[in-house]
Amino acid sequence: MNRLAKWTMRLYPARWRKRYGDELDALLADTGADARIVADLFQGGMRMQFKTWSLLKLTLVLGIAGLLLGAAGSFLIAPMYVSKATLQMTPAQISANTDAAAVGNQLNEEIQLLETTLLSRTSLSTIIQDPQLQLYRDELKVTPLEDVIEEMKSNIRITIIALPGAVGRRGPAFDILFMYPDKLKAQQTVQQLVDRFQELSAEAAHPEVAGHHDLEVLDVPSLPVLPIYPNRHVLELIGAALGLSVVFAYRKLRKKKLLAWGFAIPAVLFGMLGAFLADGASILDLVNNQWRSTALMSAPNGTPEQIAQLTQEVLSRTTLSAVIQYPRLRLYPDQMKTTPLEDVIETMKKNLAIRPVGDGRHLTVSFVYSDRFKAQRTVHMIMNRLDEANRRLYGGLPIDPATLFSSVKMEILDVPSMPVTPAKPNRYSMAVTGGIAGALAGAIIALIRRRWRPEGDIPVDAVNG
Amino acid sequence: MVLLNSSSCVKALDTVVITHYDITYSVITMSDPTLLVLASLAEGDKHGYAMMLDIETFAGVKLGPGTLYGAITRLEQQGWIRPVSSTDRRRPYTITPAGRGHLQTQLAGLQQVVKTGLSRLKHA
Repeated sequence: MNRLAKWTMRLYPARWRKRYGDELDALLADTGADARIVADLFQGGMRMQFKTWSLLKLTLVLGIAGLLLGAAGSFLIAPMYVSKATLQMTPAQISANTDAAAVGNQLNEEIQLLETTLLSRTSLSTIIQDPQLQLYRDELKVTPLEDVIEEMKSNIRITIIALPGAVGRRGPAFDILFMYPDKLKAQQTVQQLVDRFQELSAEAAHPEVAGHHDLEVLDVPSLPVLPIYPNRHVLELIGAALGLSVVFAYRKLRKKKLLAWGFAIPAVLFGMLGAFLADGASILDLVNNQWRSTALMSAPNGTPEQIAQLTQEVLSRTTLSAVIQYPRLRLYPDQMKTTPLEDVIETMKKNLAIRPVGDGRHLTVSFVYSDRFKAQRTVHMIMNRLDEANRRLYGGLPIDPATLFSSVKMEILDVPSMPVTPAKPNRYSMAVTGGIAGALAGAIIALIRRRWRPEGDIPVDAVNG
Repeated sequence: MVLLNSSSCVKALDTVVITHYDITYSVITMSDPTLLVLASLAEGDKHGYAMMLDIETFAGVKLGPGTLYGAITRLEQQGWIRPVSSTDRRRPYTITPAGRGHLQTQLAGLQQVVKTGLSRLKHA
């Protein structure tokens, strides 16, 4: 143990040892060494090193420590595997005088449209709940399906890629990627996505086989999770700024240094408190929260003009007043007591948006209201009204006339790959990030220490004999 | 006759406030090894091992060698103690007048808290 204690003394900086080494050695000879003393020496040595290290040394050591921590941390994160399939969309019939670039552009749009449908809640929930796949089994036990769908959506990528020589008769190629902790399931899921994409493509190409849905619901009305007003991030920032100002004013009044932990720590704490209070006020409904529910519909056989007509019909005074006064809904109850119905309808019109997306055959219905459940139910009602109007006015939308892309064929260039190495975590980048963060922390500590306590030196010249 | 202007009054007041703050802070951290070392040296010059034994006797605190020499380094930096010339490896230290003044201020603050606390306990 004595030898270990002597070795531990070597952890002290050389300058310090030169000045106090003999004395400490003599003290150890008197006290003897045990585990407690070795631990005490170790702690003292590290503390002394930390106090006297230069900017370069502190930066280097903390940088290496961060590098090792980052590398170690990367091994704690569950690996994620990416499976990929490559597809190509080619128009089967194309006239000789058709512009190839225009064809490419239209096919790109077609892919984007199909992607919207493929990544819709309805489509993804079918894949998630497929008993053979059993995706996100653990998450589904504790998280609502809506959140799991969002997670899956964030793990799917559909990107249009450039293939050499992919001009003229051949259309754009694109990759479908899916990232998942289980490599086999990642591959099977990509296969499902490819199958679904092909089905959707065939339905779009031959609307007559797609069933007789004049209006299809792609995304059911969402139950809003966060209010759109007030914006909690803005509130958090305001809270943090107020917290910082309080500490700043206090330190200024007390004429204390602003560049010290005494400022930095309370400032951060007050900032966090401000943000927390702002968030809490929003969560507890102390402020007038506004929620938005959105749904996505498609009318594969309709024309943009017909959809505009339907929208106009639904936004009519009669329809909206019926929705507002629907006994189970009762929108704007306070306003209804004091304001004429006309004004309430105007208010609702401002908060209700029916907008075409993409090619004009898709539309979103969104409604902003102070009660998130009522916002969702209102969107439901509006969708029903759209459907009713569709049946009443058109009795079924006419099928789109055959276009240039009426028979688009999908070609699989690469079947879903079986991933070999995990795509996540990127151990190299985590280690490098850790190293950079450590080095930055070291530099900041050294600079603050220099400003705060410039002496920090060992009194080497204080010995009188 | 010296007349204080308003800014020097504010400065004087600030110093009082800061001193009071320092006392309160020291009272909270009264197990600070630097205070224990100063209290030990107030009796007379001592080397490291003698300080350790003395502190253990009067405060019941067993300082480790690393902690003791950390405190000695800090006190020497502040000019509150200085080494005494010696040929022995066990170098003794002595408290400086500044160190004595610092110890006095710290202990006065501590005494005030002890006195108040005891009297309140008595009347409780």
